[in-house]
Amino acid sequence: MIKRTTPLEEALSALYQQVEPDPNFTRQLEIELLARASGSEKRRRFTRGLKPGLRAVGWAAAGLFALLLFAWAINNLIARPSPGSGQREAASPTSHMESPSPPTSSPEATLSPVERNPLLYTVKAGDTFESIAGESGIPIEIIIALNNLDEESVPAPGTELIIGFSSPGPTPAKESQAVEPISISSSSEEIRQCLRSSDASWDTLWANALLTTQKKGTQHIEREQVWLQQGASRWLAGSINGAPSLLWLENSDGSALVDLESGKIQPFELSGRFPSQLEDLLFPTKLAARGGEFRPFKVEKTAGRETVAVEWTDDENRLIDRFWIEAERCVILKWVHLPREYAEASGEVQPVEVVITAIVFDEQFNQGLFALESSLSLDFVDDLDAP
Amino acid sequence: MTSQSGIPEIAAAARDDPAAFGIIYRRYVERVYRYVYHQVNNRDDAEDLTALVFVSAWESLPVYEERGFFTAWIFGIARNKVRAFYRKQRVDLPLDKINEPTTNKNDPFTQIETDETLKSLKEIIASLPGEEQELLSLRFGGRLTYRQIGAVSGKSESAVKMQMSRLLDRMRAEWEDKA
Repeated sequence: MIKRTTPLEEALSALYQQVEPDPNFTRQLEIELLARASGSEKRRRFTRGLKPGLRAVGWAAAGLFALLLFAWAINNLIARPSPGSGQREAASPTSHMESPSPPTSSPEATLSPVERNPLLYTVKAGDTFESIAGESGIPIEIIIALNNLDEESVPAPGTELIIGFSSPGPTPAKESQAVEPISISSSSEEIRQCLRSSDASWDTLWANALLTTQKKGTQHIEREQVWLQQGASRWLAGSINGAPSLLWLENSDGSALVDLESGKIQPFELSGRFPSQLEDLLFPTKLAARGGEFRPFKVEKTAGRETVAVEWTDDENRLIDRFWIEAERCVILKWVHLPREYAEASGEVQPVEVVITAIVFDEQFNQGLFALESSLSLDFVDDLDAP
Repeated sequence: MTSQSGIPEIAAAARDDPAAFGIIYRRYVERVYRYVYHQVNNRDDAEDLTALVFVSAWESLPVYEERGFFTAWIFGIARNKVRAFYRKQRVDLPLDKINEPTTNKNDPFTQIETDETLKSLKEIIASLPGEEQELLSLRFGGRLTYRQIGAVSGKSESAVKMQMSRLLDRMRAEWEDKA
């Protein structure tokens, strides 16, 4: 149906849409709501006096986020050896959305009408809106809006009022699919194909990894652990001998980065994955999009699993990376990046080596792991107890 | 499924199942803010009320399935918050000024003309009764459909359409006179 808008309507639209909420305000409110979701903030009242405090928290968290994003961007840019080899598209954060995560940013996914039943309240003699609200725990205005009522009068006894909807059951688990395993004799195309379909080969994944980076000749080692399942992820990062200092969580609410030292939380607009190089190893789809050539050179055990070690050369036949690819699922268990002159000269942090020391597939996770307010330990777990 | 037996579970389920809330928030925050802003005409109150709307929605969040219905629900809350705000202040719903500095991304030349056009429109809006101003805020600030406005204000879709069409006709006449 084509609808004609008149100049007056256009002008009204322009006038009313001119007003923008302050982005700081919307972000603070989102942080506050997220804190409520976690149950950590008990009915904190919104007052103007509170806002400066909230702003400070938000800015600090935003700063931290920007810093991380910057480091992450640098990592990704440097690790991508041949500019213009058609990888830009694959590098966009949305490419991680394909699987195994469901499209959490789509409202249709979470607001779909399946399996939700209205919950009803039968009006009794003598009920008032206040008494119904008191009994149901649902505010008056919501009861009124839900049932399209006039706020002046309570419906007659016996009338059924909608006071909510029951939650749907858990979504059925995704079936893991077998990917075509690779071997020492696999072609570049077969390896690429296996990398591309890798994340369809598991339902859940836990991994412990060590990341060695190099900056102006100094090596730095960090430890990371990750729990992944459909629609949820948890990532911990910290120093090799200490407790984790950063936590990334993604669940059906969205995602957030938590600075564990300060307790600051930064929710993320986009549902994506944890801000780490490790992501490229566990979701190698992005690497599969590279041009150049993958050549197997030996078979080796890494993290107790059979891997095919592969050299990757770019379009100009320069050796850039070595990958140790798990033969059956094509998750990358080790990545050695060969330093290049320009990266060294620029003095940027450069990933030199990422090694997965332990990995477990398809284990059932305690779902509390993915909740922001969790009683579960925030420490790294030992490889042997994992996950 | 009547009843009281289910009630505590509902409230609990609503709190524990915040699945859609982040999405809902991002989808609606601007629309709710614009609606509220045009009802109260200042940023501080608009921010406080917008926060109250989402906290209320959050605290009682039963998750809704139908989007049209959900919009009416959220704006129903917003409308009640605005009313409560004015009740507390013991004033009517006067939109006597729409004078906040606005974000205008246009270039300075087109902006001058636009501002003139919009200025006369602001004056016309300011002279309207509260109910009509609210109708405009819901429609052009909140971007609600006629059906959703009907659900929010307890009227039929056709009644809202009719009211809007008459209002726009009157405004158009006045606007053309000013131009």
